[in-house]
Amino acid sequence: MTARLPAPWGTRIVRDTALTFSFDGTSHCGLAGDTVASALLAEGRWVLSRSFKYHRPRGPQSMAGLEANTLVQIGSEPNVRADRRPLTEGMAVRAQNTTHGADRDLGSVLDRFGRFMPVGFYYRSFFGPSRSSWLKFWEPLIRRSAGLGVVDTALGEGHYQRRNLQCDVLVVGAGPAGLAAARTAAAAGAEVVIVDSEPETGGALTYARNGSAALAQARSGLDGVTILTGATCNGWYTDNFLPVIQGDTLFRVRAAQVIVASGTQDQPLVFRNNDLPGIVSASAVQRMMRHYAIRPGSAAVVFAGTPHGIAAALDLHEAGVPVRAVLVPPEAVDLPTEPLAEAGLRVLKGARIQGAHGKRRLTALDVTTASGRETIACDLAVIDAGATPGYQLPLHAGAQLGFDDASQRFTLSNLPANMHLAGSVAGCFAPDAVIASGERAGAQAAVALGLAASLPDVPDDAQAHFHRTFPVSDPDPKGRDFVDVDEDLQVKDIVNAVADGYAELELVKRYSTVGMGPSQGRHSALQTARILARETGRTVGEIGITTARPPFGPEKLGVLAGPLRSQERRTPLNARHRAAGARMGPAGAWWRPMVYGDGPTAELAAQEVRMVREDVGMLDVSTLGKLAIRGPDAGAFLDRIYTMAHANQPVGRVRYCLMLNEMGSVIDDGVAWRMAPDHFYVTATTGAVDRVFSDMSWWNAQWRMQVDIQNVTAGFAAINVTGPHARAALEALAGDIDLGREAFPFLEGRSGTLGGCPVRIMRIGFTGELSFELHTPRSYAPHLWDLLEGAGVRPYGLEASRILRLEKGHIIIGQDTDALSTPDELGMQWAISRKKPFYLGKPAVDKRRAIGLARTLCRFELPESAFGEVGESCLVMADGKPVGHVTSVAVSPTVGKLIGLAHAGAEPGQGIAIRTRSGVEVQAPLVGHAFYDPQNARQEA
Amino acid sequence: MKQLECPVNGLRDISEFQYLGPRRSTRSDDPDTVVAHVFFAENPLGPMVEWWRHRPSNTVFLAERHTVTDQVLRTWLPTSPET
Amino acid sequence: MTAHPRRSFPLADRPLVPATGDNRLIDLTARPRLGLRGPGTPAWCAGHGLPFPDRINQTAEAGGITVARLGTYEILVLTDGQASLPATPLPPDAWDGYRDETWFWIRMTGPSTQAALATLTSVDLRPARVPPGRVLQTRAAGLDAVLVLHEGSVDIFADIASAEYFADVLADRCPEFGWSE
Repeated sequence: MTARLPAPWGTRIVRDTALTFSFDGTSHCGLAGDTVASALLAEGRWVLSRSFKYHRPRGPQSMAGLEANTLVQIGSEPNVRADRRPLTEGMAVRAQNTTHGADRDLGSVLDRFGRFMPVGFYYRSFFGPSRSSWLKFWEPLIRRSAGLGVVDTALGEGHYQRRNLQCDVLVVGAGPAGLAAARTAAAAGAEVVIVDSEPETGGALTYARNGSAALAQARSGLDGVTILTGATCNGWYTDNFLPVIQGDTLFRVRAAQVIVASGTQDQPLVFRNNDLPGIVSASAVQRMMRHYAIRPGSAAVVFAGTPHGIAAALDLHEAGVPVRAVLVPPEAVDLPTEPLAEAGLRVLKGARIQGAHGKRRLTALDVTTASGRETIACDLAVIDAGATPGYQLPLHAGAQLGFDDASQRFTLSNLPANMHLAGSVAGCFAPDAVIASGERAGAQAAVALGLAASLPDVPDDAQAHFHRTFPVSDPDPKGRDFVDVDEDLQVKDIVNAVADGYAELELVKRYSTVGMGPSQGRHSALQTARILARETGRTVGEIGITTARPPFGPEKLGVLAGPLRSQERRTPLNARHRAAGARMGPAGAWWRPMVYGDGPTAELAAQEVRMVREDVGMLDVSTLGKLAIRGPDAGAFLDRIYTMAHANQPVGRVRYCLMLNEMGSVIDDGVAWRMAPDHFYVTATTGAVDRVFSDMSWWNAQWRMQVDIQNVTAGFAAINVTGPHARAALEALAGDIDLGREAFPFLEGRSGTLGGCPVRIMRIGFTGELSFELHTPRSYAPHLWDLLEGAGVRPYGLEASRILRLEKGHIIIGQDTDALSTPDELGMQWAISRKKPFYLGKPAVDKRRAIGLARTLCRFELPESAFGEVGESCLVMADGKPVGHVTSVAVSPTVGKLIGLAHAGAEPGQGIAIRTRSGVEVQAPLVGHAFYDPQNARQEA
Repeated sequence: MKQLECPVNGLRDISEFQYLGPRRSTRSDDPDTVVAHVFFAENPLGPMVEWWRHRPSNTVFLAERHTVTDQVLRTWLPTSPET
Repeated sequence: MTAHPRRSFPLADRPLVPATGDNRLIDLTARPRLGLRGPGTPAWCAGHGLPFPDRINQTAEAGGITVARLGTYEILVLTDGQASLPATPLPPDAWDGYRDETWFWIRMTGPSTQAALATLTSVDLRPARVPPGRVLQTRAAGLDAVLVLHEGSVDIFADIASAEYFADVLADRCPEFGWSE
């Protein structure tokens, strides 16, 4: 444990506290306010993980979670950024991607076999020595060693929240520019939300040299502004829709104006062993010292490419860390280094870093200057090689990233309307320019909202030309000069990708995986572009970068899923079914009873079928679609929508209705009951009613007939009472409807009351038995159900219902029909009106008739023993070629055979050949009529 | 997420809407004309008129949308019969 | 309110617990209401001494009755629990929308109403944009919903078959209302 720097260093830690935690099983101690990484650094531990490919020891480089080096496992949570996660008491932290912890990784042997793993090697490897080598040897090996962290599959559910948040202005980034923008917009009257992923506002002011003096001023004037800290804006989506993730809460923000003040990212230098723990960015070392009072090393070398490096060197000096040398590169012309000399620090001008030494920690740097080479012993190298703007959100929004050769910096242009930049992301560096650019962006946003605000000028930035980036050297002959530390890619890997023929950036990215790790190009994009430009003789501006897409940073699937649950729709009889022991099954969002009781489904369903055929049963069909079609044009409207004649349908009659699309294919079916001249009650299938309703609404928006169309599906429950004793059971209930055979014939409807419940009753024939479909307003259904049970009617479920209808050869839309099914194919020519001048799909019906039938739906039968061998989707064959498939099949307890429906060729003859599940062809005779009661005597009783 | 202006309910998330397809006249008794309208409809690079439905209020309306920029230029209720 | 003994409603078995503080969730599904639609609706309102709001998505009040206009010729007539709904029968050109059967009705009241709604719907509820007495036809928790906003409370109408699902959603997303089973 190294002693912390004295106050005022350490603004985030609380001294005199103690939090115990462990790393790789070893106990450690930290302070309240520490992150996991800062506590470990304070204890002298720099190695936190092993790198992806070569298993090299890695430690904090940005101290801001910008690279994969700091990903650790904490308890059951993998891939936690140790430099962002606050330390809590009792944390059990483990290194990832290692066999025996951060310090002893047997995988590090891979570092010595690097030359066998050139860029893209895995595309050409692992194919041998034998054909089964991949599946038997390599794949299991790679699977065991791949991935970062361990997922705990026994973990319970997390608790995630989501909030919708609307505002006038969203400011992303609460550094000095963002705060100034928020203050200005709010002063003009806008509703402002400002977000920052740090635990406090202030941005770089919280760690920069002389930053604290400006902090109080920067944070002033924010009354009424909503401030979200620890909140990452993770992307930009159309119309200024931005997700902001704060812990386990997702804010779905809709902002009229967005101000991006996302700052910059320090860039690394590329040299041999530039990944050693102890090599950090200038911002990183300032965060370590100012936030956490960490003494970052015992001997430092600073590479100062811009004024930021000079400030870092002075910080180190002030903190009492010996600075062995400050290296100023040849490109940093005119960099004001006088303060360094005044502090007595050794400045080497025209300097370049050639390489670094060390095993698990930096021990020395090889440096060249105009006067020659020297090796400087040090355990801390602070690299200031310029910075790139936080370009991700603007690029999500369609902005363009260019590269200015003169200033050697990225620039953003082509911003969409309603998005503004402020601060260093816009190329402002001097403090007064930063604040002015923030104020200007805030004012622009306010003006765009129609508020009054004056636009301040942004002063010329005296420091701008110092803030440049630096070139990448030729590949080091000994390698390990990393361009992308997340993916372990060296300069020669990029060079070799080009040599392998992948000369375009998009190809280089995909071939080498550069920029595809957790850092997403933050520290590799510019370097890759520079190398590619050199290898292909182009400029960096011509190369560009691969575009940025959401998400900006990692997001848990739980946060995206939120507290969402799947919609469930229940009929009013749901509790009755459960109480009766029904096995419930989903039908879309609905839950329906499949079968009642314990035991094998097939047996229970067969019993239910027998019950219906011999006695009486009831099925909850409340999910059935129901449409109220009312108005003077109701009949004429239905005439246009459906294929049968409805305009002249007598009052009281129930008529089958079939709906086609413009191609003449079957969409849905049901029945239409004319309750009054201007009032039809129309049913549709459970699955298609929403579509039928929206189609009807759309058609009438065009036809503008005098008709009201309403989807009343959930408002009415429906119970199908069916069986030879159905009439007797209903007559046992008190009611005012004459249910006798003459008074209430087949295919008619009556309304009245039954058992004190208002009912609409239709006589239709799905099951093939005497049936009364009772529709009652939803709130009456449980009472009606109870009365029916009292009259001796038992429930049956969907399994039995499917068998019952199959025994009558009835189709189920979507099961026995598909997007190409025509009424002719289904044997339903009778449903097509010949007299109507128009109905949906009529022209197509005529045309497809002229083309001729492609297939027909037939009824087939086989011995019961064929069950299991012949099932749904088994192919129907003719001359060795498939001409159709089985759509429905079941063992019929009533006729004692396996019965089914299948698509077959246009003229199948007496039988069809079905290929069973074992691949054998069986001959199935066709049945020309219903399997059961072909005269329909029972349903018309 | 995209927003769309319902002529009756105002600006809403696109998740409240259902796309119904391009506006085209399909009322024809000639099957070849119907085939042309259904399978060979114009697919312009530029403004196109489409039908949309605001699901919660069942408002069916028209929108003119630029197929390249995806910008919705205007939305309006149909006022006359469309054959 | 007393429900007809032959009628039952989906949320009746879930106890409604007032939370600490002034936030409450109340199930009003059993309260009578009338949905009316069709060109005869304005005349029916006039005939019963009820106002017909000038614009769609607007409400108008009269003696304990609220008329919410949902469409060109569609209204939802609500009572405060004391006033009685006007009697039917209806004219030939105005029809019952069965709103007492197709929708559940949940009222949220209290200072956290807007915050709770923000977890359910993405429509802009900032007071400056939606004055009280306004109707919002939007989506909430994945359901097509009608919201009728008042000072400090909101009435939510949505698919009655999804009532229990919606109650589960409220328990997930805004437990501070004290909705418990």
